[in-house]
Amino acid sequence: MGISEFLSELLLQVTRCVDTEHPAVEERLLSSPTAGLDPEWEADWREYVQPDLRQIFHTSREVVEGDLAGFPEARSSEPFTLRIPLEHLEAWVHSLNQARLSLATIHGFEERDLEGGVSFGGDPRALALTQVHFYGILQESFLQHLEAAS
Amino acid sequence: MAEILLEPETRIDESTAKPWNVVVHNDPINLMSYVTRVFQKVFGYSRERANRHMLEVHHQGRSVVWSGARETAEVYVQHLHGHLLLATLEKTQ
Repeated sequence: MGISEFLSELLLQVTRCVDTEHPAVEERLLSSPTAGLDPEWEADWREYVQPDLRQIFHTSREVVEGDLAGFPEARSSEPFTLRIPLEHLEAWVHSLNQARLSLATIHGFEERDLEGGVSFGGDPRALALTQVHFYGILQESFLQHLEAAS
Repeated sequence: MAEILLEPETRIDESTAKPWNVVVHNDPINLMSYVTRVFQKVFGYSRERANRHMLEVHHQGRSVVWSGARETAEVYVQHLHGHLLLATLEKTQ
């Protein structure tokens, strides 16, 4: 079983949907380490830790973008195949998490949204929810591979 | 006559003497299996212990995943943020 055109498009969106310019997404990905109770440490955190965190997030997405470069292959037809090296799975798991958090923040998804089924309503929110679910299934699968490999 | 030597009074800085807690807060988007794996990876916890903390986060909304010296706690919080968990540093009561 290969990858359909629709799912291949969702795969290509993994890194593109991480909107680091969106203030709410930035706030979630770089959340407060003291819930605002220690302004002095928070200032140090912003200066010294956040640049490292941004780099970690960026590096994960770069690995995924590298794996997706040239996908799907030109002149190939459905179903498509994507090969991911085992050593890249951690970066995939991380990037998928960034994507899920970003989409959930932008669209305001809560626990009850995730518990419901996926509807292909055609609107951007329904598509985003489909992405969150699909990326979650991929994450789960990759985590099982990592567990088996360790 | 015996000489009595008085030792200088030592004061303990309460802020450094009390242990600090690393607290992880619930986030419905993070997968439960992902959170468990992060706890295993960051703290070296067994799968059982990591799973216990994950379930505590899920059901109680938060879990104290580690307690100890502030410097070490800060490093753990940083690692947890690197894995996109909602983690905070709190002084024990």
